[in-house]
Amino acid sequence: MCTMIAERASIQGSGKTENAWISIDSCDIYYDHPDHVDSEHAITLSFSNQLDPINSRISLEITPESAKEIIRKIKAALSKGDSLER
Amino acid sequence: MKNYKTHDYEGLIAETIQFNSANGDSINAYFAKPLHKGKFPCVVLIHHLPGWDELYKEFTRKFAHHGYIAICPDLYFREGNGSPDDVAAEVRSKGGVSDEQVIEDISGAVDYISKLDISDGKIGLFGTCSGGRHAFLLGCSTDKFDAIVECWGGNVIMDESSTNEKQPVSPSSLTANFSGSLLGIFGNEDTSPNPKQVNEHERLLKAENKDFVFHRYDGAGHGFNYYDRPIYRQEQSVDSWVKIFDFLDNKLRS
Repeated sequence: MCTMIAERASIQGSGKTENAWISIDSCDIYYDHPDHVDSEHAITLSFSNQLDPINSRISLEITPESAKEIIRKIKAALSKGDSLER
Repeated sequence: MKNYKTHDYEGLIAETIQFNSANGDSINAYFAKPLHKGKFPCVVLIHHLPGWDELYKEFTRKFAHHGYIAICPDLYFREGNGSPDDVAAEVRSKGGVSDEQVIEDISGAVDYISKLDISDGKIGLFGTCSGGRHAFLLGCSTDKFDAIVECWGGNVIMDESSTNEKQPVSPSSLTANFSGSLLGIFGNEDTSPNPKQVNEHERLLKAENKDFVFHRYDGAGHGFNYYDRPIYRQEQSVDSWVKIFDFLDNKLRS
C-alpha cells in the first residue's frame, strides 16, 4: 500500500497552468510511490486552489534527495533575500 | 490460466456503468464481460490508492479476457470529477476513503454483479496497494467471496497509533473472521508492507488455520505489475499473473 504520508501547507501565491496563471492557496506534500519519476519513493508537491482543488492542481514529483536539495537552495535564497530587506 | 489459440473466438464488452452502493449512493464502475454464451464467475476489482485509472480499467478487461465478469467501482466517485491522478491527490490529502465506505461500495458491486443472468454465482476479489488491504478487510467482513487476491496490501498490520477515524481497526486483528481462500502477492523490497509485516500477516493466518498461500518475489518492490510506472518488474509481474489466474481458476471454476 502507498504510505499515506501527507502534509498540507496553507500558502499565498500563484501557479501557471497550461493556459493561465491562477491563485494558489494550498500545497499538499506527499511522500509516496511516484507516478512517473524513476524512484522507489518521491516527494510530490501538489499546489491547488481549494475552491476547485481537483481541476486547479499543479504537480511536481521529485526524488527525496532532490527535495532536500531544493529545501537547501530555498533556504539559501531566502537568507540572501532577507539580508537585502534589512 | 486459459491461453487462447489463434482460432479460438474472443470477444468482450467493456463500459462505464452505474450501480448502487450498499449505502444507497449511485456511483460509477467500469464493467467488462465476455461475449461467449454461458455463465461465468465474477471478479470485483478494488483499485489502488492512485485511483480509478487506465491501469485498473485494463486490469478489468484482462479479467474479462480470461473469462470472468469483472467490475471495478470508482471508490473516489464522490470526491469530484477530473483526471484520475488529480482526483486521487484530493483523496490522498483527505487521508483516503473510509474502510466503512469501501465495504459498502464493494458490497453493492457484489450485489450488482451476482444478480446478472450470466453470473454462475462464484465471486472473487482482487486488489492492489490500498485495494489489497481492502480486499483482505472485505474477506474478514463478509463471506461472499470464494477467492481473494491481495497484492502488496500495506497497513494490514496496523498498531494502535496508526489507526484513525477512517481506518479504525487493523485488518490483522480480524484475521479469525476471514472466510474464503486467500492468495497473497508481495515484493521483498516493498516497505509497505515490508517483509516483516508480511511474515506477521502469514503467522496470523496460520494461527487461525486459514486457507491461504503467499508468494514473495525477490528483486521487486511495491506495485511491481504496474507496467506504467518505473516500479514495474517484468519477470515478476508475468509470473504473478500466472499465479493469480491459476488461483482464481482453481477456486472459482471447480
